[in-house]
Amino acid sequence: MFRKNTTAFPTHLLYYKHIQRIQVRTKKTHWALLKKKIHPKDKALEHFDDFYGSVYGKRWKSIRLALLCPHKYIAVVNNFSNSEQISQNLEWLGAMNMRKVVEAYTPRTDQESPNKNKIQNLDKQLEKLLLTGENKNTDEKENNKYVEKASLHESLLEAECDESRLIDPEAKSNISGLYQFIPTSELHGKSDWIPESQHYQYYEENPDFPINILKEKQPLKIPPQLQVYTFDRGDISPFPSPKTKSNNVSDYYLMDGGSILPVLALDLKLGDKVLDMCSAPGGKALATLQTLLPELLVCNDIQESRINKLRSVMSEYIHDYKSWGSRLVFSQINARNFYEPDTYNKILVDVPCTNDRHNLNINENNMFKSTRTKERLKLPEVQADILCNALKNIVVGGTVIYSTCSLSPIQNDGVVKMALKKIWEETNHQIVVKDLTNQFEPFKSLYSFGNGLKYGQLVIPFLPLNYGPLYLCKLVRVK
Amino acid sequence: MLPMRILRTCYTCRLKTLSCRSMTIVTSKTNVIPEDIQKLSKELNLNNEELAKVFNNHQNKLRYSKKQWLKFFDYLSQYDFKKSQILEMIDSNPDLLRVNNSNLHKCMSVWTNLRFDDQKLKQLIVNQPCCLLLDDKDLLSRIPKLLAYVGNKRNWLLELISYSPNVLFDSWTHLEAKLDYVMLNMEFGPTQFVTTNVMSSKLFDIKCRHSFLVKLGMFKPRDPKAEKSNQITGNPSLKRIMETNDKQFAVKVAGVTTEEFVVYKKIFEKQFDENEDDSDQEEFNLD
Repeated sequence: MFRKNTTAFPTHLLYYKHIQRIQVRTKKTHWALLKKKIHPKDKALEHFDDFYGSVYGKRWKSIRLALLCPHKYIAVVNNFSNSEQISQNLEWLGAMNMRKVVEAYTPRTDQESPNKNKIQNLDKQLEKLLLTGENKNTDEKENNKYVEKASLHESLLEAECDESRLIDPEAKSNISGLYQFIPTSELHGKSDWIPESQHYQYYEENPDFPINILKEKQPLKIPPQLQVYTFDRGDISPFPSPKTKSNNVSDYYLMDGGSILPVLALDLKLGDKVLDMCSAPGGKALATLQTLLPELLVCNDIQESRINKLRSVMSEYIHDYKSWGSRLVFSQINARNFYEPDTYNKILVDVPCTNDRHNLNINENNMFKSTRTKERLKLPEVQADILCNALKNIVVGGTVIYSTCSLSPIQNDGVVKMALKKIWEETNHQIVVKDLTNQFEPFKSLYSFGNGLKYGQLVIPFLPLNYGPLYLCKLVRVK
Repeated sequence: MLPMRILRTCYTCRLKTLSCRSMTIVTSKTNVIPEDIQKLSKELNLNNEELAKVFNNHQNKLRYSKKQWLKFFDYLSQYDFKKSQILEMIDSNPDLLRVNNSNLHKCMSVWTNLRFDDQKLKQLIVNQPCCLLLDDKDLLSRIPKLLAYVGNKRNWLLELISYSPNVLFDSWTHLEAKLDYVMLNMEFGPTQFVTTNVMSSKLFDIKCRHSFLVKLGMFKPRDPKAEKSNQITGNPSLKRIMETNDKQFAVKVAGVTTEEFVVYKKIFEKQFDENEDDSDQEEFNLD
């Protein structure tokens, strides 16, 4: 029937020039309605203006500008293709190798070090002269040396209880009052609603449990096989979309510049067993494989669709990845319930977060949809659970990298603190937070880092270096 | 050793002698005025030196016949322009002498028939003599269009022309796009844009600076439901946005670094070009 109709239709009318467009104005497409409509990304912007405006102060408008502009990419060269040729092509485009930037920085520090040592020695001598042994600042000592701090259970065993204050459950006279009906004294209406930023005020800066923070002394080492290219500060040239060569794999993987830092912070060594707890879409997992160092990589995610996305990325970049067998494993488990203790020595926890850049620019899959408010408010809790689970699974001496792509201090330092508190309360694990400030010093010409963070490092979007946002924190299990 | 006061007086005296010497050189140079200029100044009843100065400024551009000079001066004198004002107009736009007398007459009659305030119109023509270079038909079609944008207020229109005379010459589509953008997107009324040279800047610059401020969160649209008494938006004025150079705009108006604005300009240029290409493509498809 359909075929008959088309044949009866005059052919010249099918030609697009002769088809008249009639614009139908329905209620939904009326300009006044469209102008009034508040999209999820508008809500996100409103929320960030309120929240981040108070957190970052004057710096927020600069961050806001960078977030609303297209971000810069980095290209991770595919070692399973013709990597030398690809690297050369990228250099011809004007891109620079990140390794060269780091290497250019390190000799300078070597030259400076003798002078620095001299100054430090002089300082120490001065300190000795001025201060007695008792008055020395104990904080510095804490920063440089690991001091074992007891877990909650251990400290409770040692604690003395004031037994006179314990209530005997059998003494009914005290408890009966709790079950009596008490009429409401206050009603909260719309006028009592508070802005969302105040919802997070439970985040306290001073922890009431011991946290070990140690400075990472080792210089940053980019794995020898990992080739990462980017454009210079202020250069907005785009990378052309990767091409597929003769062996059916793509040349390079394009991802946000910040996303490579968690992989570098993992400090991968030959034979490492790596778990990526929230792996999709697979950029960080692929970069981990490009180092050619891990013995095992387990890519885990919660949804099948996300696992499929992960598989498609792997198939695009690795020829016949299925033949890798048990070296590259995909698993579909909720990261909060993942239980394989003492198996992995490197765990990457790139948790689901408010994904600030995405939510400010795209309405689809947006966290700020009114239907996802609960999910959004529960995020810090979920993130803390996932990180806590990772810390439980890691082997002694292993490293966990926690990362988010959010600027929220609650989802960043706040979650690290919550997870460390949980670990302190529930287990006897001794976790040390590694301060990566010195290690990331060579990257200061490539990234704009945030100041005043307690535990981790934050890449802040800045228009000439428009990467991130990305927060990462390195945690090492010591015992 | 000389006391400080005496030293200062000696120093100023030396400066005076130096300046006097240079003055004498200048005057001696200007004293040599060619005969033809002297004759012309006599006939036009103008100061010799002033006319020579104008000739000096434009060199060969003013080599018109005596007849043309006289005709032009006679014609404009009818409209109560002083001779010094006419000379000033020629100095700022020497092409005026080239205009055909009938065309000049047509143009002046259109200007006078448009019911502008006489004094203000005269002042405008003296300040922007290019107004006399227009074709009468173009002028007749352009003025009503512009009047519609300034709330039919003639004085505002004169002010707009005095700040950016290109509103009379530019293509209407470009100008309309700028006017619409300033009025509808930036929400500035005629009181703001007639007193700035925003119309002489490019649409790209206007859009770029506006969108930069919007993305910084420093430029917010007016709330249509707000009470009229509370309509202070806190947005920077159009004068501050458009009449500053890139560095001043970035640092003083937007409060960010110049580097950020330079990079943003590059990004915006790319987007702007892409949008223009798209619109061209659409127009092509519709044809």
